[in-house]
Amino acid sequence: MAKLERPRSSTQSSDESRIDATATVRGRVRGDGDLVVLGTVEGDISIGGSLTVGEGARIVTKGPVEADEIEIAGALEAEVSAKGRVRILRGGKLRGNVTGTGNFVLEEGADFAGHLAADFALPPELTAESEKRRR
Amino acid sequence: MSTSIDKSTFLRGRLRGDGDIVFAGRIEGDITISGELTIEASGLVGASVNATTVIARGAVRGDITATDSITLENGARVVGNVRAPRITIEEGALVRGHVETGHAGSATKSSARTAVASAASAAPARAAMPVRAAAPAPVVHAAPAAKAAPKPVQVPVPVPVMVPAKKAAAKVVGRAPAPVVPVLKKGAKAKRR
Amino acid sequence: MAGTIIGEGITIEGELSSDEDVVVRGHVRGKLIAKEGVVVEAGATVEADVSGGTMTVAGSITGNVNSTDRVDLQSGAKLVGNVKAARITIADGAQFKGSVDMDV
Repeated sequence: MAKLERPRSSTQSSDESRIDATATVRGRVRGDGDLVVLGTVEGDISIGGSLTVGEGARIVTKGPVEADEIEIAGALEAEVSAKGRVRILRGGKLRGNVTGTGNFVLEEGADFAGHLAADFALPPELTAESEKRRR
Repeated sequence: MSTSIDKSTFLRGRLRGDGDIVFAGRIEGDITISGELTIEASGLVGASVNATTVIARGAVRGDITATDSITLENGARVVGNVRAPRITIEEGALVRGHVETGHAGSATKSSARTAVASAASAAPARAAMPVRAAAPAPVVHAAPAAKAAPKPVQVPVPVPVMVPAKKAAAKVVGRAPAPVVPVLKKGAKAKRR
Repeated sequence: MAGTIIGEGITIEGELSSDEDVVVRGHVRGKLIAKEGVVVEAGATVEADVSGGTMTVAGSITGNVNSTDRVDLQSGAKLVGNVKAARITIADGAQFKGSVDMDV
């Protein structure tokens, strides 16, 4: 069972906001602190701290979900953009591409379909032009 | 482990078959096996990889597909798509490509083929293979000690010949030609460690 | 674990080169170049030119063999190809077809 952890505070962490399981927000959510979503958000989310998507949370958005760090224990279908780590916990599910960061953790038992775009170079042996494939 | 490719080895070609492989060297061609493939930190794989289970901590330029699971550990660098029913990506693993859990990867082989399986840990490993069909035996061998002592094994199967089908779907064992021999899947390690 | 070991169920198609020993229990088709020893175990097949140091063969090689040291064909071995080596031994029960050049 995915556990909903308190997000580790990011640099700011002064405020932690929380949308409870029975609450619904229609409209965008923005801010600097951390956010824990256990209920429903119909609208964009863009925050400066950590975002935690709890089990049972429902987020409906057309744009990317943006935060510094993102932890997903529930189901999210959206593009996700983070500066730091994006982590999908066991039982969690993400359908959407991940941008902005290369720090991505998919726990055993988590579900994911999307594109990752970590910025790194392969070792030179694998990028050399001279590499030819011979049958 | 039946096959281990050390760091100083370079393969310009493909690697196919049944059995587990620990790969620490460099390969320009693809790897298609039914078994568990471990790409060590020094491993450099320049083309696609298909196995039952893949554990990677090295570099891969190509798609990674498994019929059971894929684990990318810290140190893994992958440029390519990653597909398996179960995928674990640990912190520090870097990926550029499409990642998808939940679908059976292109099959290396249906488990139906598992005839014998179980190397049954025979110490001698090669254990008397009954000459019949069963060809490649499950694993064997424990250590490099093998060098000097070839054990007489009655393995009749010569030449496997892998069909160069790039298609992942290719049965791994392309021992197409002839001898009956269906392949043995070496003790199919379906479970991830 | 030094060296490379190609297990029984495995086939390599292409060129294999190694700075250390290579033990073949499976199949290699193409080319095999080792800086150190090569062992082709019983049941293994190598359809390739092979070069390396000491070679111990109990399986089958079809291809030319070039050794900087000695080539030992054990009983049950089969070698079809030319051999260049400092020394060669062909045991009773081994099959060999090809020329031998010990002029190293």
